[in-house]
Amino acid sequence: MISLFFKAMKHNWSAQASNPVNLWAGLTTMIVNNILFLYGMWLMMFAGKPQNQVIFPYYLTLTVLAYIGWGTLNFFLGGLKELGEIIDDGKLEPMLGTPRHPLFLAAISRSSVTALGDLLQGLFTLGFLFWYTGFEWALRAAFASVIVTIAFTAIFIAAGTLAFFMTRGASVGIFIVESTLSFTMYPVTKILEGNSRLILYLIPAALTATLPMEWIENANWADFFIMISITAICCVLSVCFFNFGVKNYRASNYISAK
Amino acid sequence: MIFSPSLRFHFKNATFSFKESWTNLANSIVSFMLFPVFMFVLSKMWEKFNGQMGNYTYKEILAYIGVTEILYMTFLRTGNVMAASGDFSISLARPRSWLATQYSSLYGKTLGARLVLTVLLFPILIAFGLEFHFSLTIVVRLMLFLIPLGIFQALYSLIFSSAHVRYEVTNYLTLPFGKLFLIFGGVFAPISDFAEPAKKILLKLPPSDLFFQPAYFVIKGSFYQLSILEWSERMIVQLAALLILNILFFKSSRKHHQSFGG
Repeated sequence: MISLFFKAMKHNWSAQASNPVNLWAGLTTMIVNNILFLYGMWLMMFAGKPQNQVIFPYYLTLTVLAYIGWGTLNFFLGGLKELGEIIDDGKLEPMLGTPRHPLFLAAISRSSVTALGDLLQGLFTLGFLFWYTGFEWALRAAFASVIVTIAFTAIFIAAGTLAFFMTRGASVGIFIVESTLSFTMYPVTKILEGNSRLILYLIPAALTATLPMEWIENANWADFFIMISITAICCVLSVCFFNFGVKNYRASNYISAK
Repeated sequence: MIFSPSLRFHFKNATFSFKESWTNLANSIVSFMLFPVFMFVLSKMWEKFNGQMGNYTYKEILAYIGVTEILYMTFLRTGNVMAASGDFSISLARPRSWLATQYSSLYGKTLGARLVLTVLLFPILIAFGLEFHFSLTIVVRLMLFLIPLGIFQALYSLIFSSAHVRYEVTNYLTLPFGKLFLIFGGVFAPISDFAEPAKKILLKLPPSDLFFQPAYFVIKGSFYQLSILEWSERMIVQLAALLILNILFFKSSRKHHQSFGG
């Protein structure tokens, strides 16, 4: 399985590297795009507003978590983000007739240059965070991004699996994934107060933003291991959910013209 | 009268594209689900970071973000840009202008998509607790802006379609170019709440005329530090620049276009 993963990565990126103009244009564009976004958010929330500066490190940390989590997953297992569409379009069917797990084959089927841009942006921002906040905070952010990557994996699989059970499951899955990203990227964990904070613990972003941020701020290393264990269990449950979906899957091409 | 068959064709072309967004309303509604999430998150962010400035009420900001998101979500869509450049080779053998045909198609698509979103905005505003009359005013005012603003969206998209015909790699540029409009157009928060000197500079740039000023008008009933005449003048200048750029890009693409058969 591991050798197949590396082979898929090698072939995917050898194809990307064969078109250097496309590769560099895509990579540069994504980094410029992300920098512009960060600059826009800084203009909107922090520029010329000293009273808001206290939240700046939190915003930077969330950016690190979102970009590293999202970028890593889409770079190494890019097919998971499109799992719903793969199921809807019938592209999963050929994967069912192989001795490999269809989820694994779907996951390694894609890797994009834009995801690499996100990942690099996350690492640059982590470097900036290290300079801005100090070693301990940045180290905690780096560890929390591991949790966020596993959490995104669980959410991508569970959201994509909905396509097995619903007519517009792929669209609902995209909604879940994109709204989770929004709640992770924006400093919602710092702006909701009172009863409305409860929502932050009930949505999938609890695993990608609320709890990781609370751990970075307050908790100890024992809590880190508890969190990573719970996130890993969520990931296993997502895979079980996918397996359940596969068992009940009705192929779309049972009547096909040849 | 000599232009009437051509005009009739482009009108029908625009009407056909306009109907696209209305043919599968269920899909439009599903893809619209993210919309209230953005409205909620961004308005809460504004309340926390800029609420103390007192330029807008929370409900006004909810409506403002709803309006700017509708305009931005339908601005420079990569799929539309690439679809327009798709049949360039075939169009060279047709007795219609590719530029005009794609323009009418893009305009129809934009207007249709924006109208669907505007209609869906109304129940969302009510669900967020905005008064019925205020929500209705927002939707009606926005509808009035959709007709002129669609012209600019179509022209910006068409520049990228022409560029894509000659350099395929330019499709990557739509994302950061769109982001420039997101930042400098005040999509996430009104430019009037930005600190100086950013506010002064951004108010002079074209994105503010396409996003911030129309959204401000929809909320407040007038433009921000601009009269209707001044806004119209600025839009005419922008329109002239876009037309010239479109013609230049199209001529360059036609001259250097290589067809790989069909």
